[in-house]
Amino acid sequence: MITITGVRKKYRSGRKKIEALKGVSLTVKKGEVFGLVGPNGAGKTTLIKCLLGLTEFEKGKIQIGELDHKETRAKTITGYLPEEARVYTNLTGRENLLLFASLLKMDANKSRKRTAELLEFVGLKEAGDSLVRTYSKGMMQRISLAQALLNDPEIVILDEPMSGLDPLGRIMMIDLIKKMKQEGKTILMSTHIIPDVEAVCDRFALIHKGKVIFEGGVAEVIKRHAEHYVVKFLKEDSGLEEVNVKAEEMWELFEEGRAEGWKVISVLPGRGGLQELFKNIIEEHEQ
Amino acid sequence: MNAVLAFIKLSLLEARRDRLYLGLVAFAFLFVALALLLGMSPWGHIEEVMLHLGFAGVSVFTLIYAVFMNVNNLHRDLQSRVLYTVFSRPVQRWHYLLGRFIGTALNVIILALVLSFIIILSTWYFGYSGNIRWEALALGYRAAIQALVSGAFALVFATFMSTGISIILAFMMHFICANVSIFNLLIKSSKYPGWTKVLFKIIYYVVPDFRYMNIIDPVIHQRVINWELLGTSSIVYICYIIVLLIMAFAVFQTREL
Repeated sequence: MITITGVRKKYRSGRKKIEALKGVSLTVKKGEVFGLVGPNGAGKTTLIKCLLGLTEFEKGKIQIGELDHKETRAKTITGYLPEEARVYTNLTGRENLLLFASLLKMDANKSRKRTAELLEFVGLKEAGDSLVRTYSKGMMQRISLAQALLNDPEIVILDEPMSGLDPLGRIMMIDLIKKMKQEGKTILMSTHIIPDVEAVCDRFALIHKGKVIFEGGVAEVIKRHAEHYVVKFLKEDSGLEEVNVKAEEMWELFEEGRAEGWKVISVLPGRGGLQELFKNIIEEHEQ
Repeated sequence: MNAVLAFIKLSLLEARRDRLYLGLVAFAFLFVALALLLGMSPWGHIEEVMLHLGFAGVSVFTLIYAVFMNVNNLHRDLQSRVLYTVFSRPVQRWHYLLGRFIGTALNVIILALVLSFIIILSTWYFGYSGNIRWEALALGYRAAIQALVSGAFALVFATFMSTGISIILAFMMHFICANVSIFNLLIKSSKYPGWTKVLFKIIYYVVPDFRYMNIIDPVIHQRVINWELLGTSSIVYICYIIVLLIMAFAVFQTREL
């Protein structure tokens, strides 16, 4: 659904040119939730800006379905939720949706109907006629999501959708993303919050210093990681020690430990989660 | 056209709700009211003084409003990054600028019109002639169109400069446009080196000259108004506005958001 091939992007910072994206390539399949994961400043938002045609890039190609990302049609099948709500705060929620509907050239009746539907979908039916500047952060994020869904897009791009939300707001946003997935939408979501990836993503790419350094399925990676075990050893003069080990190597480790005078205290499945995996991959990449 | 209309509507709505813009309008009303009060002082020529001071206030505040709104609308939308959302939709950048400019222009015209009516009706009520001086509306029109030219300059600057510098430069341009004749004197003066004279010549010939719309005296002293000159200079100013808008579109198109 989204194909990004060899995208390179440089920024000018004073006299210097900084390479924000160093030949990024990735593919997002139809109907999946794809996570774009990486630390702050990795290039996630820049990649999304390139994808939406908000900024030019020097090399590479971005396709949305069969279309070039800059084509008007590509923009009509895409919905974008920026990092933090980016809507007009002097307008009401409903007025904002009507404004963006007119930018999509929706006719008046259709846009009024769609606006009412979406206000209900994001749980802002009652607050729809209040000025956005009076909204809480969670409400702002939800009105922004409603804006992204105005055209019932096939592709939804979410830039840090959970950033700054309270736990309840996060749960609500995760539910909304799951609902969108059930409706068959393709979702590209950038985040630096790893539990979010585990909660909603099918696949993800780890982006670091403008490069994709890992791409894979979330379930598969978690499963692979779960095949590790954490063995805790104790020795009177040396204290407690923890070792990560694969199942097939465990027997050998026990033998070695016993020979050196270590006692096995516990053996637990070593599911440290994606967070640990990301840390390891980034560290490996740094080396 | 949908997009342009949407941004016009947005500018009109925001002007009604933004505390900053409402504050500016309130200050404009206050200023004009004070000017009218001052005009009523027992110096004689009440009507003339009221019209003079009142429309000076209209000129000042329509100028401030046009410059400030053009710069602030764009910079606020850039800083709040709402333009990311806007341009992720099938909208051209020039749609946005044009819509915002026309919206601001309508706000300026409404402000000038309302203030002009207040001045004209006050002059009729407190004046000695008993006539409603409708021809004074031309002064409100003059203030509005000159403010729009300066507003267009402000928009050009705002597409690539910071808020403060854009506002200062726009006011400078207004001052230059109102005093272009100074540059003719500077060209003739022998004090300046050749390259400065070239610069003065460029300014003298390129910058719009606000003197051509100097209808203040004929309107206030009820002499013959040169409507033809008013019409011709309006066309010239509108052409300037169009050129400035095209420049703003070209610069904004290449700007990193």
